[in-house]
Amino acid sequence: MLPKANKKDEEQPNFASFSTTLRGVLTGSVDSRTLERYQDTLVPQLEDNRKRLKSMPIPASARTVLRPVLAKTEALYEKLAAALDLVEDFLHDGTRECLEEAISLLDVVGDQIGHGV
Amino acid sequence: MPVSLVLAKLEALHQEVREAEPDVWEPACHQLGELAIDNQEAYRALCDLLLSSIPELRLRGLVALRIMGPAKPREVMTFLTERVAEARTHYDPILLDATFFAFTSLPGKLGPMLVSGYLKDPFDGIRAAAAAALCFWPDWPAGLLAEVASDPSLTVRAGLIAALEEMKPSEETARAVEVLGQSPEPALQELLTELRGERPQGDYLLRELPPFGYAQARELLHSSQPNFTQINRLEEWVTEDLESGLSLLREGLEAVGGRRVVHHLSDASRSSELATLLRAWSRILSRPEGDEELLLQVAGILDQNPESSFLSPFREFVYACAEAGDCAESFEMVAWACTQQVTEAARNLWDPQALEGIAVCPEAPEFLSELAQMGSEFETQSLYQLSSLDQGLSRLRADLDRRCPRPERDLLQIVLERWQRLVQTELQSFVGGESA
Repeated sequence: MLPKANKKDEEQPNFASFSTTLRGVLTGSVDSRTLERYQDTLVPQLEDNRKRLKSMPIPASARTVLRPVLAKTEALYEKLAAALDLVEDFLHDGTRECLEEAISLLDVVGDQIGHGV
Repeated sequence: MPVSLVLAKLEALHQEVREAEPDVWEPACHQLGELAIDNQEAYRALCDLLLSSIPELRLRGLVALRIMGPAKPREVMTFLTERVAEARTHYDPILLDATFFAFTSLPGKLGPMLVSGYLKDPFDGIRAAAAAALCFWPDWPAGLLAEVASDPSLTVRAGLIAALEEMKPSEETARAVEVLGQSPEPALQELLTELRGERPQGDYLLRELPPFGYAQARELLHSSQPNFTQINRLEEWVTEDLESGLSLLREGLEAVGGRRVVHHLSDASRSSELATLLRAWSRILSRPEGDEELLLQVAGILDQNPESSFLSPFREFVYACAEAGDCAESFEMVAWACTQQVTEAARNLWDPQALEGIAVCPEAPEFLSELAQMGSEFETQSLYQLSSLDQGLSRLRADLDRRCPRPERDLLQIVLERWQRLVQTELQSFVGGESA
């Protein structure tokens, strides 16, 4: 399999690699500091994106056509927010179920993003 | 064999049949032939080889096809006889010899029957290949070899000498050599001398290949007749450092041999992902002017490798272009632009590097974003807004010609042309309606 790019930058926390990181936490190969780094990066990123989506100027002529796309995207953001909340809960009380639930939410979003929003 | 295993096997065979070493490609061709007997995907891969733009790969395709002969004699025979017929218009003696060799895979007397028929063909190239193939079967009717030895064509008689070299000496072969001895041509007499063993055959030296680097790759793009060895070495060089390789290929697309090299490279590439990308490039470069179906055709080519993450940035770019090119009025352009912005934002949030990669030039997604921005600012269908969109599109088009490399530029041009046409039609009807 060919690489996407020859010179790969250092991996920044992102949602695409979040579920792998969470799985790593479950197996013990990823420490809680890494998880906190993910949270610190992803929470404001999601917040920022949601704000921008809400304030995006949409011409009146396109509003009807865009309604389903916007609703679908908002639903995806909801799932990501829920996943982040679950991880936050895990960081507070260490419940494994929270991480497992967050992983399955991220997998669902990953599938949907992979097949077009 | 489970489907996933077959696909993995085919992926490996795709690479191996294109390797330079016979120790690798020959067994791979055999395996491909075996798989192709009852697997449609493998059969398609074999057909890709047989239809390759590179004669050497077509030859390897014949090696694989030969394995299919006993199991699918009718299909193989039809294919081979069609290739022999083609030789009348596109004569390639090496391929024709390989085609005749593939007749040996047909069961029973089918092979010799076809070959003896071709010995009477009006085209001496075909008769020569049939004569050279006589050594593949031991029993020929008495007098046939002598009859071929008296063929008026020198090429046919030379073909027979090649066959006689491989045949067991007998009364029949001795008679044929005697008849050939009466040929007046000095070249034929030299071949006969070699056949009789009176002079040792030429020694062949294995030469070391000269080094291949950036300069050689550049030079090759300016060559009008690249050979398979050169293409193979270029493929190795490109795969070694994909980023530099693809960038050099982009630069060379305007060169004399650029398109041809990309086309050959798409056939010769051992990686099916790179092969798919170059096939898409090749399709774009060979498009006739104003071909609006091109976007869908390129998307179709990329769909052949749907799981490739290497191809995904280019695939996403092509899909977005195809959707933009599908707009039929300004309102659809606005809808496309806003959808594109929302989708892009969500994708960026998920994986900021998802749409980056060496399969697409960095300028192309930037132009697409600019187009989406322009479209989303178009609010109402007023004379002012239409004119300003029209001006924006003209500016973007001029920018595109200056800054965006091919082949992505070609696809964006189609979209911009289409959008400009739509805007101008609406402008005209607007102005017409106002004046009425």
